[in-house]
Amino acid sequence: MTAHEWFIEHRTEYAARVLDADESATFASHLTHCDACRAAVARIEAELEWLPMGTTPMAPRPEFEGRVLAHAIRRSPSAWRRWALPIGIAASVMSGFVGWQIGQAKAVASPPSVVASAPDSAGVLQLAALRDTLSIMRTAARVMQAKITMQGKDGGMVIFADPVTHRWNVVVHGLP
Amino acid sequence: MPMPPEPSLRLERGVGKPASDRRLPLAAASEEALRTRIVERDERALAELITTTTPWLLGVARGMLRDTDDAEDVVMEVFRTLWTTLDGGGDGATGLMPLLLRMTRQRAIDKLRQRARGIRLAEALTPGELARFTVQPVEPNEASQPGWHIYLRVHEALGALPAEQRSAVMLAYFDGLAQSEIAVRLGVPLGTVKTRLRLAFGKLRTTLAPLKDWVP
Repeated sequence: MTAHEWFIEHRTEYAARVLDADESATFASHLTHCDACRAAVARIEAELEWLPMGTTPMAPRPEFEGRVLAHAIRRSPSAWRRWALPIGIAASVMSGFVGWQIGQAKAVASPPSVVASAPDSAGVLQLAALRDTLSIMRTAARVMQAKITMQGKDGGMVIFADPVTHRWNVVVHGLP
Repeated sequence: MPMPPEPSLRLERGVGKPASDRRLPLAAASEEALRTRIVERDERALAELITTTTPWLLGVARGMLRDTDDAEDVVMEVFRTLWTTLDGGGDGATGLMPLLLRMTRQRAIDKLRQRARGIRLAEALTPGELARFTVQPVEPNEASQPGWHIYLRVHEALGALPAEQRSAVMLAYFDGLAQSEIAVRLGVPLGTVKTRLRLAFGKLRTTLAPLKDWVP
């Protein structure tokens, strides 16, 4: 058996990670300069890609998914909670402002097609942000809704929790 | 040396099942969009992916490491790595779930090999340990579980293997053992283990290669 024949014979074992450590290291080194073996190993890995699904799923412990998210984006849960509300308020004030702008645009009878005809405009981006906020609200558990009167205008505020990201969000609407 | 009893077709490694109503679909059609959103650093997309895939990844890691804390560490690091390294190229041809499964298994193997392997090498499988290679009966409420149909197909493929090949594959793939360790655990020559694995993986490649989509 030539040296390369040994690598050909052990492609599957390498792809399945069952070679002993020294053999695996030798194979990995070989892959750095052998296109044929690298392609073959990639193909075998793809063919066996679902094999780990033979293991029964395990329910995560409470709060684990939140910890995973916080760790992935490198935010500690405590810091996350500390900043979530101020950030949410800031974002929501912006959303409210966008909503007010849209309302103003409608008040002067600007047809929606005018906004849609300028896809790069800030208005479209703002509309997209508003749609995103509304889509989150549809699945959220509403926590509080309050009516607010400011400068003679009636509006309101909704505070809700996003069940996916575990963020608090605040939306202000109808206020000057 | 007496032959160990033939393992029954049952695989039970998890300590619980995810609640079906908490799972979000990860269809192949939506996977590309999800990948794009994650590449664009959409934290909400990452949260969706975590919710959908974590039970499976925990199952893989817990099954290999036999320790829930270690399994959680592995899964956390996998998502951290995905979040920081996923881009539009590279593994773009690989689906998100296969990519996560591969990363989880590799990290679990790394962790296993950091442990004192001499203890594991000295252990031979007992009949009781072999009996854990079993498959749970399907529960109707799990049929809608994303990924469940793949779970069943994998089990069908494993169940179709001769018992001695199945034992070798499970020790290799789900326990993260290397060939020489499997030989010790099964009490058979290394060459026999290599032959069994080669035959088994050949059949599994043929059977599992057509599986593509996370959601049927």
